[in-house]
Amino acid sequence: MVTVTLDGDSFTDAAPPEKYNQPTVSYVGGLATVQVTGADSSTFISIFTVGSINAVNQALFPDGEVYDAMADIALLEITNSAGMGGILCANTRFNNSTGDVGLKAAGVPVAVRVLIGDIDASGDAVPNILIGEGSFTVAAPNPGLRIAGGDLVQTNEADIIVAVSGSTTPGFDTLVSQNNVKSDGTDQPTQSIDETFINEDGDEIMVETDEETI
Amino acid sequence: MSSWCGKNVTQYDAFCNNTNKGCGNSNVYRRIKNMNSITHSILNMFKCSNRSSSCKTNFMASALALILLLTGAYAQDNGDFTDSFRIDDRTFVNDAYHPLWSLVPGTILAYAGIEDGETVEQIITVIDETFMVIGVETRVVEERGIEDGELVEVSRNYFAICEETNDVYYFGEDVDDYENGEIVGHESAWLSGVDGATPGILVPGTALLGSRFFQEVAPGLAEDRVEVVSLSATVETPLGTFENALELFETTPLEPDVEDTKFFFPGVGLIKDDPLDLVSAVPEIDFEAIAGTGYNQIDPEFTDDFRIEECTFINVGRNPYFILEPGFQIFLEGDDDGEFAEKIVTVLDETRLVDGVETRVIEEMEFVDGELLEVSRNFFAICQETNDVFYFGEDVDVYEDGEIVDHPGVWLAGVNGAKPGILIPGTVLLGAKYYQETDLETALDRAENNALDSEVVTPFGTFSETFETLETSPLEPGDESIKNYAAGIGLVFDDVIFLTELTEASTDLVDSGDGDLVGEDITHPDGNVYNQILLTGQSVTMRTDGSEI
Repeated sequence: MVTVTLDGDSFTDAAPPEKYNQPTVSYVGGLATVQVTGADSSTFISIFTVGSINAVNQALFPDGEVYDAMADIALLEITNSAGMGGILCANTRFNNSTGDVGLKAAGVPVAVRVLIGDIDASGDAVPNILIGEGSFTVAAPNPGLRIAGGDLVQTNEADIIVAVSGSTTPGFDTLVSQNNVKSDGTDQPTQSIDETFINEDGDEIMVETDEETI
Repeated sequence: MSSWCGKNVTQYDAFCNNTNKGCGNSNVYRRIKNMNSITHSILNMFKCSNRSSSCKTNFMASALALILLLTGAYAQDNGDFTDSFRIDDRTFVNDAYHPLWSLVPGTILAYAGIEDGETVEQIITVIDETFMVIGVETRVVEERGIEDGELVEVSRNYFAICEETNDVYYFGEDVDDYENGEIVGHESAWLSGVDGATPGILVPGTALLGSRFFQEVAPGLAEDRVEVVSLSATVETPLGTFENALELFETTPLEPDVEDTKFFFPGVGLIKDDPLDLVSAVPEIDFEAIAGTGYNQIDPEFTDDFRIEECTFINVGRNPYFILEPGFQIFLEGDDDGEFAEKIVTVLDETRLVDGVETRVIEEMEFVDGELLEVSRNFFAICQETNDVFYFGEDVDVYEDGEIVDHPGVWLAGVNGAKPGILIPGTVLLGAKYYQETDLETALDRAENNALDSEVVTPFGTFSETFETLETSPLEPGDESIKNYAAGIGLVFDDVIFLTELTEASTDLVDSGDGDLVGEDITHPDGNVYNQILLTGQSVTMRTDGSEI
């Protein structure tokens, strides 16, 4: 099951989209929290924006319109699940000013890879990259936890939670920073990541980082 | 093996001469719906069990709506031991850790002992090799037997772990018997798929007291079978003392005089196979780490420690005999001492956090002669690792004249020391005994699996893939209840009421909240198939098809 809940403060009523040629469809708006339950190692989730390089209907895009081309959501939370196959959010920027921000899948191992565009907590928000131990057991190209085009810099300068309370072991061995392409075709170069990582108790955790250009 | 007391259903009184309960009460089943169109004639049907030597139930039924017929023709043909495990639709892994029988290559367990004055040794090695048996790629586990320093047997045993239930299946073995360094025979070799042999279970995913099952199912060749006789065994080995170990009592119909006892400890595996004691292990055993990690049983007869800490819970799903999908609903009706009893069981689109687990609420409404008697809200979740259906508690409202007058039997895991019980095991094994409820003061229902694959006829249909539980409670000594569950359905018989209707679970992709299904099974040019749901409000919960999100 997947539940999508829009943040009440940023919620906007259904209305035709301003930047798409789609006058007959009305969209609600707001920062989303996505909750997944009942997943297993065959389950893959992808969160992305519809842009010129992935849309089936190319007539959606007015000439000259400029897009951010990133999905803005607050949180992806995975619970009551035996595992996940992959979390594919390279085109997603996790951000909010309250509550948890980022990926919370404590205890849920991910078999293949996790891609995150960026995470940016502001205000009182708490940034997370939590996945279960025993992740990335399936051999595949570009495996592991990857930040695609983002720098993980937090507007509120918060440390990023990567392990649960009482643990000093994140669910990943190495945090890889890689380049990315947004859904409008814009390149995003690999960024250096220089953030502090902690567990839920606030204890600092050393995380090995690496940079790749694919 | 259970069997009919007789065939002529009119000989009711004669059949009941050898019974000790139940037969004196004729329960009249009536179908209220379409009552005017039903010609009623009365049949008395009942069943006796050779195991319990008691007539368990009897009732009268409409001739047009044959209600229940429990035959003695169980598909299980080995009496009290489960010998058929229905693995056709299962998936297997061959390199996984299992707390009782790890298949991680490189695992080595060495044993030593003295028998008839001779030293005996055995070395079990999980080797980096697989072997295909009846379409399953199994792990090869080598066993070397040594007597007085001389190699006497080398066997290659084939195992795989069922992903759905965590049972370790035994697919066969090749055996070389040695004398003076030469192979002289191949006694006890067997292989699933050859001469009618099928896989057995070496150790189950969830060890339940009383479970009886075949480890080897090779008629005439290898028919080892075991019973779970204890989860509280203390076992002393040269390596140390193991508290609260699993004890299996092993026999074989091929050698009726031969008995064996084996002990397993979670996280270690086989620790004693008399006269052999575990003497070394790779990886090495950390006794400090495993202290207190054995079974934590309170009752020596009915299982109350299900090692729930090893579970990941889901609140939507199904096991072969239980459907936990919102919208699924069953209706049962029957006659209870002259009163018309009805029960409606509904899986609600509602969850409740109980003892740290988000459980699914199942509502049960009971009526007598059309008047609401009781409404209970029961909390369930399924352990993904074993497919056991766990029961986390219930709220109960008892009604009189439309008013709530009592709340008997209320219990909740995490309150008053209660823990979740098992309602339906992931693998149903004959003889298994387990607590369904664990509140010492208010709710202690417990079940024993006492029959498999009885044929059950209800107004809704006839079911042959079934299992039957005998339920008792130490809080209500003498009270017994019989339930039958059918594969793909769930409860089809409950003491005196029978399945009459069911409503399939909702298949709407939008489960709750505000969303419109715009397109279903759309194929993207990249080959992915997806459903498109337009969010129309602040929140929507969607169902997913298998791996589609």
